[in-house]
Amino acid sequence: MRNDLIVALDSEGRFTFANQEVYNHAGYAPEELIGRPFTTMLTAASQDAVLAQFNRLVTGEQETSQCELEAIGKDGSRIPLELQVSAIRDGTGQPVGWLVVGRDVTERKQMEEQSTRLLLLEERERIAMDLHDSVIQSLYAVALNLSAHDRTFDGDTAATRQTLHRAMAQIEGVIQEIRNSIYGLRLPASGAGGLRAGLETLAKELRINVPIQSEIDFAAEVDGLLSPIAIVNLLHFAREATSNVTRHAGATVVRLALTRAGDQLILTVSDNGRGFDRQNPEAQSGQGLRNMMERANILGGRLTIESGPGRGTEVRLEMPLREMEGEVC
Amino acid sequence: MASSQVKLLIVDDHKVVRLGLATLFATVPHCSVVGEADSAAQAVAEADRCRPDVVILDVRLPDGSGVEACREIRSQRPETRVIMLTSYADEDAVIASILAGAAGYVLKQSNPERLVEAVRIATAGGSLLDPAITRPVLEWLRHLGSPATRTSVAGLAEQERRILPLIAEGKTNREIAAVLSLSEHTVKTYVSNILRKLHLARRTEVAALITRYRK
Repeated sequence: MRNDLIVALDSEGRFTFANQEVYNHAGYAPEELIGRPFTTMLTAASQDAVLAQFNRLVTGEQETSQCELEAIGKDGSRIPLELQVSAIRDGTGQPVGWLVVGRDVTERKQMEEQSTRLLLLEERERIAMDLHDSVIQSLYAVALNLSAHDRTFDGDTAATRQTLHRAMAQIEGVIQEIRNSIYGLRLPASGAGGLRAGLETLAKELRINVPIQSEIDFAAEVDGLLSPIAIVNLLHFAREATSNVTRHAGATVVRLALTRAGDQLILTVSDNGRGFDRQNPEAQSGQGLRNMMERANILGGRLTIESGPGRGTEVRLEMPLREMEGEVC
Repeated sequence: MASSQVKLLIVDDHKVVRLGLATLFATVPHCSVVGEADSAAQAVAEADRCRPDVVILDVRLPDGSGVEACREIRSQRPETRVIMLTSYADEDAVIASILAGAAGYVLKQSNPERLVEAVRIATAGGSLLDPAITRPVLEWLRHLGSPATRTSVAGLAEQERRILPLIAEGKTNREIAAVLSLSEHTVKTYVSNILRKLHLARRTEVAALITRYRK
């Protein structure tokens, strides 16, 4: 298990101390750093991030601040770090320097990357299965019915019209299935507009395309507390959960609710559909469920599902907001 | 009912497909649908109950493969003719049909006439498979199962390799059990393992083999 990197900076942001781990990790001996500015080991973007941390702490409202960034080792290699920055203050509470503790998160980042890759592969398989299961079978059935009519056609226009109408209704059903699939597969917006805007867009898409009535209930303002990456993952999660509703539940209404309990963010997606038996092992194994669990993992959160036959379903994601309000760089 | 009526059992886990197939065969004078099933287990039970002449069987079933269901059905009544129905025709479909002991496979496509024709051919005892394709596959199976083959690409056990050529000959599970002095249940387990291992090995091997023979 690796140890933390610890450096101390003076009020000008110059290194006054660097521990052994800094040398082990980044190749810089303490004497190579002391007296030099903190920007030495950072990319331009990371420098801005650290400055932002100093700004947050200067006022004294917070004790410490966190962020993630990339440092550059002496050999030029990139080192992903999770930093915790605290101010060193004098008797009057004025910051006279900074203490920075960094943790190497290379392994975590690699696992996140692998998770994402695995998700992608599984998604492709799911797309293939979707096309196979819903679209081909339904269209094949339409062809069988039309062919049967073709074989026995005897000039009865009333019967023919009935067959044609039935075929048209079946085809409309297939188009809807494809739309549902498209909805489930699309990428969420970049998340730049914030979680609330992203969820509102999702709800609108549902209403128009699926179509299913959607309600949103925001009881918490969390946009300032989430990193852009977390927002994107939450939107992926919401899309997955609502996509499941469109595909399986037979619901007419889906409700998205966002609340906050202390340092936990809670996102629930509930529907008034037919629900399912939680005890049934088959119900546990769908790709949709796996996708949601994966997102919950990435977010460091917990997924619970409540359902019962005839009672609708509620999917609930609880995730920690950062303990100290911090920015992700 | 005329004794020349062909009795059909339809097996597919999509209700709309079963409905469509029943509607289609209602228009075929010499055919009559005597049963339906939506799973491998139900297929075997229904085949036992209604004793069909021809079974139309989807390759992919929720509780197991159509291949195993087919072998089970033919073990019970070897005179049953089975047609595998598949949405997507890759080399899997060919191998599945051969391993199953089916008369062949038919693609789910817009012109169901091929399916009606396939039923006619199968009833007459014919095979739907193109010999140009089955030959290399049977060769491959025999090669895998031969004691002279030292490295088994699919990681097949000794006993499994002995079973392979018997499968390739078209023997039912019951017949294989008799030849090797094993219980039918044991043979079924071996076949299950073989299917699983071959599925992994088959894609690259067989694709290459078929390409080579085609040239």
